[in-house]
Amino acid sequence: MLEIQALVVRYGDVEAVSGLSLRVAADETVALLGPSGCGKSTLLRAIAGLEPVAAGAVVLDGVNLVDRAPHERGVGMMFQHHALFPHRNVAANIEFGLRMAGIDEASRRRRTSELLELVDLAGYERRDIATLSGGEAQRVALARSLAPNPRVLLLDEPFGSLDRSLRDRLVEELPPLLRIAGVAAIHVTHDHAEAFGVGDRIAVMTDGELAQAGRPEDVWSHPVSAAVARFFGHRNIVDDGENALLVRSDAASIDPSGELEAVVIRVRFCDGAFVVRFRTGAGTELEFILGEHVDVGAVVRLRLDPDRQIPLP
Amino acid sequence: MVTVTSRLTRWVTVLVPGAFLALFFIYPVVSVLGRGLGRDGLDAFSDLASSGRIRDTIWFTVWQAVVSTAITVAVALPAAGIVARLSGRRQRLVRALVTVPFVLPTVVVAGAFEGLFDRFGLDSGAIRLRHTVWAVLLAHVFFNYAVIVRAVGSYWSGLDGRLEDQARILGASRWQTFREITLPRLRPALLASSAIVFLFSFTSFGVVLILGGPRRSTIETEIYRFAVTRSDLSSAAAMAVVQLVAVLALIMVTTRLERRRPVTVAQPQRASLAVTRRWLGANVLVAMLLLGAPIGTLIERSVSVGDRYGLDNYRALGERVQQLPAPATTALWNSLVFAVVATSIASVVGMLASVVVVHGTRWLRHIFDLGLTLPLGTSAVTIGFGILIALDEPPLDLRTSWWIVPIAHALVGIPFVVRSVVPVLRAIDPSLREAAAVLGAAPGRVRREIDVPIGLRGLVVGAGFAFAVSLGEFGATSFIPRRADLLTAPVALFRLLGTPGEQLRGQAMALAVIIMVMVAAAVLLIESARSSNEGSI
Repeated sequence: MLEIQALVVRYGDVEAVSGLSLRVAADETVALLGPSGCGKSTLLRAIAGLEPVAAGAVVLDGVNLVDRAPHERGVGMMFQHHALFPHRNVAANIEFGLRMAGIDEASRRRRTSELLELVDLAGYERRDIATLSGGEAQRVALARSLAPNPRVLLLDEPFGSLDRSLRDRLVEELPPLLRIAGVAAIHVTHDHAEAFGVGDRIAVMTDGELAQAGRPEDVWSHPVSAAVARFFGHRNIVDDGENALLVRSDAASIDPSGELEAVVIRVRFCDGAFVVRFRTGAGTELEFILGEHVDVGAVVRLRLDPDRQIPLP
Repeated sequence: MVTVTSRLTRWVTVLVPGAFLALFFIYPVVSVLGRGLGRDGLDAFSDLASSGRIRDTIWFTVWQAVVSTAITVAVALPAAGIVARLSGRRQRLVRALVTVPFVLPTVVVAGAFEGLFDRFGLDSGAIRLRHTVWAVLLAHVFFNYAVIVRAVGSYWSGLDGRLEDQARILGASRWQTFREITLPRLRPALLASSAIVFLFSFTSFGVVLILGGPRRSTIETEIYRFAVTRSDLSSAAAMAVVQLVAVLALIMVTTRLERRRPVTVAQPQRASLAVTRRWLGANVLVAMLLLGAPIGTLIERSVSVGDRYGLDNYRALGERVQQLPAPATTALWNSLVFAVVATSIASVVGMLASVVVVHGTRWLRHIFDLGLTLPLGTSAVTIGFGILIALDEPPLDLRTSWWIVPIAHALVGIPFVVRSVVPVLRAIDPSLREAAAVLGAAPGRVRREIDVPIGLRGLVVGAGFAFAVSLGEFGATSFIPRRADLLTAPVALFRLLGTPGEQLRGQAMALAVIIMVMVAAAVLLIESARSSNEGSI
């Protein structure tokens, strides 16, 4: 189990990570979600030993790693742009960590082909790195970081440079691979759909601090702040100056006896449903997902489910 | 955690190149300065100044460099435009072809032009080119054509050609489009490469010495004539100080111009408007006449014996002639051995120095950066002269040592190694090193697994250049004592060219062809090594 305890990372006077604590169980993937510049990549680099830590501890299975150099930590990391070694072929990239650990050649070769099989690239051993497609390079990078059997795998926006459809596919493929490897993983991303796709738990980071952590459905349904709610893609945050209220987009249905009168200002079809934007008498705009079509300009009455309205602190 | 070995490695990395440069570059240059600014040097300087000799020499050096640069730009700029429009493979081929003259040894080129004048009767009579300033200018254009075509051509192909299309659609003529749209955008590349051409022409030695004839002197040939022909070391030192100051100023201008890096589009769009056939034909003709004719004539002269063709000139190279302390074949063999040794020294020193330039502490980086750029600009003549006057007494009497030649050649070659390795090392993505560290490689191991193998690819190119440069080196070597075991092929060629007489001239042509072939082979190997690397770095 990986435990990050009150970790502080400073760049000069700026605190990139300020006293953050987080636990990751042995076979769990935590998706670390946050806007760019919130310190999530810095946190990963500090765990790997690539950034000096000002205070706090990184404890892996009871041992504090903070004073160890990166090569003595036994932590795996996948870099944003793969960082594959251009002067070595696929097999030499994958077995690099094994070679550093002093493992003999026959075992290295066995492990390499095993991993290539795992990431669905069997037979790619002799391929030149320059000839790989984006998705293939991604998988070789994954195989390389898994090869030495790290107890922790850190993934720094691993799909950041890939196009949408490839990313969607890899988001589906990654969790089972990590489960087979049985590794504790922290997957950094700024895309909430990707985070929900890969994370057993979601941790949201803002301004160097952990804003919220929990199961995906819990953090989505009960965000702790307007900023976190917006980051999950929630659109309806009603703020009267004193209290903020999150109205989930699945909270409304059309009902002639509903309590709220609103005019339809925009209708958009998406994934078999309609995303409808309303303006209320008070001038507030709200967006709901409805199963039926309504005309722009129509005035309708809406019933709101009180369980799907969450007061924000 | 700094282990004893890694600290030792760090010291070796700094000390080896540092000591080499201090001893064989800085110490000689300081000796030149000391001598030139000492009482004897200042006396010599005021004598030279009062006779007007310094003024005349500087004036000729400057104006021939200005005119050389202007003609080179005028002739090469249209060709750069054509090269810019070629597709990848053809562009590489043309670039490689025009580069051949650039890398040829100055003595060989001077020999080729002498052969050309000889063949077409331009050495005397109504149109005389031999021993005129025109010969010098022609040879400078021959050399530097590639500088403009390569630098401006690749910059040009990075520009967005749709702007030219747009200008034409808006009604601009070809010439107006070039003047108003293309030329202003080419300015940075054009200025930087013109400055380099100027620097090369300014410090040109072998060409002026051989083609200019006995009456024309640049600062370079003055240093040589004072030091070697007249053994007037004080006057030579005074001229060398003038040269050092001028070159230092020129290098500062050049590096500043070079630093203005181009803003080019990632995926350039070539202008769709085609080059007219006549324009293309005119440029190919100029290139062939300018670049091809001297080389072609050189080869033709080397195999012509009286009225027939034969290999007699080549066979004669094995014989001892009075003008040389050893047969030309011995000189060729010496040159090969010197080139191998000089390249080895330049590779080791240059590679270590590159590591310091990229990874050293800040002040070390600055010192090495400066110390390595200077030899490139400092003329080979100054280096040779400095070694002549600095390393001639115990405990460091290297003047009579065999090692003096490879050391001097290595000095000239080191900047090429550093210039090839440093960009490769700098371009290594830091996350590669981090990835290696996270995968369990200790810092020393990271360097061995990542920096060294990737840096070696740059080293292959740099070492190839160092080898080619050593084979053709003349400026520094011309100061080395005339001894059989120190005779290099270019020096032998210079002696043969300086001797009147039909028979030795033929031998000179044959020797020039052999040196040319050896240099061209080295350069072709570099080009192929480079293009096979391009895909993966």
